[in-house]
Amino acid sequence: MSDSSSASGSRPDQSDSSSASGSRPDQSDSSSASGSRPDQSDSSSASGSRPDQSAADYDADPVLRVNDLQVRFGTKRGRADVVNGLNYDLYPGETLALVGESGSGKSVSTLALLGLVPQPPGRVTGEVVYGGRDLLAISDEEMRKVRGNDIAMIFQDPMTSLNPVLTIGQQVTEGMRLHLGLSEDDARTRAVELLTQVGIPSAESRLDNYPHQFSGGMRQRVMIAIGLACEPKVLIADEPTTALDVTIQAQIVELINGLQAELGTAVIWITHDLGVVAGLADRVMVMYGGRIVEQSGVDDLYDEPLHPYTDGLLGSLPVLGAGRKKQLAAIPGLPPDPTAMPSGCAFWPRCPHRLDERCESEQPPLRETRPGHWSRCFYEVPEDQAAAR
Amino acid sequence: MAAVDGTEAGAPVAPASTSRWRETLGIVARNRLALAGMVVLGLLIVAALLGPRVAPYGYNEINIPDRLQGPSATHIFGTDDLGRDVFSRVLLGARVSLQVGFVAVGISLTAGTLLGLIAGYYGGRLDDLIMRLMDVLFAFPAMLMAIAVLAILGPGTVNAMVAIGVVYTPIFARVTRASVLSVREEVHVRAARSIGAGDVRLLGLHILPNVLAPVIVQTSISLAFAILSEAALSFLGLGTQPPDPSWGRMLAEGRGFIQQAWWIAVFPGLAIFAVVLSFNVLGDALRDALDPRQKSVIESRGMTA
Amino acid sequence: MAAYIARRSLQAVGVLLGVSVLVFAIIHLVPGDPVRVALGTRFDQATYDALRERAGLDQPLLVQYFDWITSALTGDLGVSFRSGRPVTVLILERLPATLSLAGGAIVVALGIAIPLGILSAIRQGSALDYAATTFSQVGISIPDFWMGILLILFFALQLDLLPPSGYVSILENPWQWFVHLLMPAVTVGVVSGSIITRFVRSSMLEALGQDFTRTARSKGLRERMVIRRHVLRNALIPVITVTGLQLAYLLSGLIVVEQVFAWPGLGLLALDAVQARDFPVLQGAVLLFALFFLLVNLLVDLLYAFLDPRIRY
Repeated sequence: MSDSSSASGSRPDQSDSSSASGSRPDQSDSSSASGSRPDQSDSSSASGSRPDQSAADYDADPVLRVNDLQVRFGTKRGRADVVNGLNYDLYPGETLALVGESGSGKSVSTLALLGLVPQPPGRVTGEVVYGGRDLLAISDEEMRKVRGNDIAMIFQDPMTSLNPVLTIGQQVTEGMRLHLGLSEDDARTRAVELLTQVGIPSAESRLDNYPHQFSGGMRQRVMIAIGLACEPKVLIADEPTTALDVTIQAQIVELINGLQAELGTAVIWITHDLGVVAGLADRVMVMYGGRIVEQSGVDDLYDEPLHPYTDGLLGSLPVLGAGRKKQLAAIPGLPPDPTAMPSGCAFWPRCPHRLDERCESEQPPLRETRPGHWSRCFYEVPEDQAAAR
Repeated sequence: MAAVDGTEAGAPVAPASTSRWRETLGIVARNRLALAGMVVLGLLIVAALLGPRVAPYGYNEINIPDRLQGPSATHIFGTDDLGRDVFSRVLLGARVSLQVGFVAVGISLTAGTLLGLIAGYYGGRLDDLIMRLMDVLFAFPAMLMAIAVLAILGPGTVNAMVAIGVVYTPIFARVTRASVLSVREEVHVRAARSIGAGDVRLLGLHILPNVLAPVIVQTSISLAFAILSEAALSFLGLGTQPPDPSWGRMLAEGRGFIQQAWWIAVFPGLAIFAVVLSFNVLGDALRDALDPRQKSVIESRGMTA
Repeated sequence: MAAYIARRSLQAVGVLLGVSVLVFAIIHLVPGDPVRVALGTRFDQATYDALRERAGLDQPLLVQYFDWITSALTGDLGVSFRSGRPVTVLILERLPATLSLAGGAIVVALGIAIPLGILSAIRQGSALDYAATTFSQVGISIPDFWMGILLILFFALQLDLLPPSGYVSILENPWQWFVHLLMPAVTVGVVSGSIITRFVRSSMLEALGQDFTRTARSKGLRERMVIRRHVLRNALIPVITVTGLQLAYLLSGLIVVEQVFAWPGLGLLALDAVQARDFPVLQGAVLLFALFFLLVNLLVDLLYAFLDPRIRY
């Protein structure tokens, strides 16, 4: 599953040349926004757990639109610019992978979507359009109705994300009773259904168990059940598999994919692991220094990474069957300090190419370098160098 | 290279370098309350050192005609039932309080830290033995233990130092042991041990620096309560004996005159309060700067009622 | 669970024995012949010898200890050298006053600490938080004997609202009992409460920053619900430990406060016993204090196990 070289084989062809990535350039132009529908005929999946059909519906209107999202924090060392102008659309049923290192702003940006960034010390600006409303502008009470109901989130560490002193049943039914107005009994019944759906055996008897009585993988399944309890239109999965064993990881990915297909939920999958992305995403956005530096359909990203950072990330992935000759290449240096963001390209200090003198001082814009494939770079990685994977 | 702040709260403190001390001092200084505390303490130390020269009157300068006068220009804190100047007495009492505080805490610090180091480092039976002993000491009502020690040794300033020192030893042992345990299994210590570093070297070079921070915080807090304890013991008549000045004793003596001459009891008490508060505030500020995870005052105020 | 209780009880017994040995040792280190002191001016050799024999003081220390500890197990703590009355009776006489003060103080302490601690954590950084923190700093540092004197000065002597000292049994006159209890309980309670406040606050802050709190918020719960249902239950469990410690401490005789308010509790009993070299009373009192300490600790542990499902299952 984490073998990127065979990723394209499992993915249905995107024959339509118009932009499949569905993102907008810095000047929002909705006419080029809609992507193509993936071709559902070619489905011989050699490897990977991606279902043959993506649930993505690119013909419909985006379910979520993020416009110029910025998140800043006041810290002791000064102002931290964590998210610096995020723009993207999310389509119903699609899985959008948000990739980046720790500190790239990926988690914070999604917390901002849900209004979970404490302000102060944070400050969130921009626009998040859902259901015709700007979520950043509505009242707290209105936002609460959206949280867990229309847009839900599951978190990274299932050990700590569940309340240790409440039973699983209480935690699963909580959201349902709040948003859907279910009675205690109805909620419990539905909870049992959900838990069974996520693969927890003898769910009924386990409703009154406590989180510490479940294994890590089971706990994450419970989190997923909680997340999907109210059948949200958007599910934000913040590194749901990072804290789990590799074997469990695969199960969880499969589970989420399956449920997504059933419910038609759009999923934003946050991860730092490009290996995981291949088997589950429709589109990928790579974040660095609080900005999107590359955005494309998943196949295009692996076939031809345009941004040197993506290139570096892919280069640091171990490849099965590559033999011992190839050394794992790490990207030298460290991510930028949010309290001291450079005026030029954020990746410039670590970039192996640096062939354009504008890189150091000017912020490169996000350009559609190839159809449906956007990159924030003045320089283009030559085809021969990129495709050697 | 982008700066990554490695000094996480609660992580073992690397061997102190000058810049870390400067940083610590900076954090303490920025806390206004702590700053005020330090000013008070500074004044106190000055008072203790210069006392006899600065005090307008002697400690025992009896002057019956002027007895029971309220605060005035000639007697800032008024006079007591024997006409003695309360301000001078309070000033001179500072010396005793500080002395007892520092010596007593010195005793607990030395004994407790040593015991804690041994218990934490060697572990096993020795650890059990030492910590059981500390448990028993802890279960013993602190005040009563001090009183009992004073009953054995007889009342007096020096004996009070010993008594208080004994009472505060367990907490230093506990704090030290906890830090030793947390550091003992750190990679750098195991690495040093694997290349054959001896016990003393390990203790001195690797473990001690990490123990330093919580012990410093504990010292400041224990100083506060040691001084409070001395005052309490003197209040009961068991600590510093006349004619030596003592705030606690003044409080006890002034109690009888509380209705007609409140200043006799109130000002010494105020002095005790100010000193204890300052040390506590300092201790908290130090803790915020050095080791935010440490429990501070909760276990420390053991024997003051 | 049963095994846990058994193990803890055994540990407690061990510590209790340790304390008994320690107190016995300390007391017998105290110079001064108790019988001589007790007889005072009425000294005469025959009575002296008889009393010594009766008190078993002519026996070797080890035998004395053994005798004492074995009869203690049956509730016989010996007889006071000074008054000749059974120690157990003396202790029982003083117990209500100590229990009243400890109980009253804890009520005051928790009444201050829990609301203040919770509110200051929820509104961290606000003026309320700052005030609460300052208040608890002051409360911890203030000498209780000084505070007691000030309260007496103000409320009893100046305003004549409350009695300046003394204790009235609740059985005799509940209102007077309350009125007499007020100042001592507040004096002790403010100090205790300040300690607990800081703990409540830090425990709340920790719980507020936990992942499960974030999960609860992400479900769309109102903040009040998040706090009530998720945060409080987690935050208040550790507070039980601190409260227990405080209670144990309060039960071990508040000598100085008793002195200030002429409160006839176990603290003054012990103090008198030390000064009069009244061994049996002192031994009995200290043993009781240690017992209280251990009982409260045990209770806290059990309560903990009951409330925290991670320990229960």
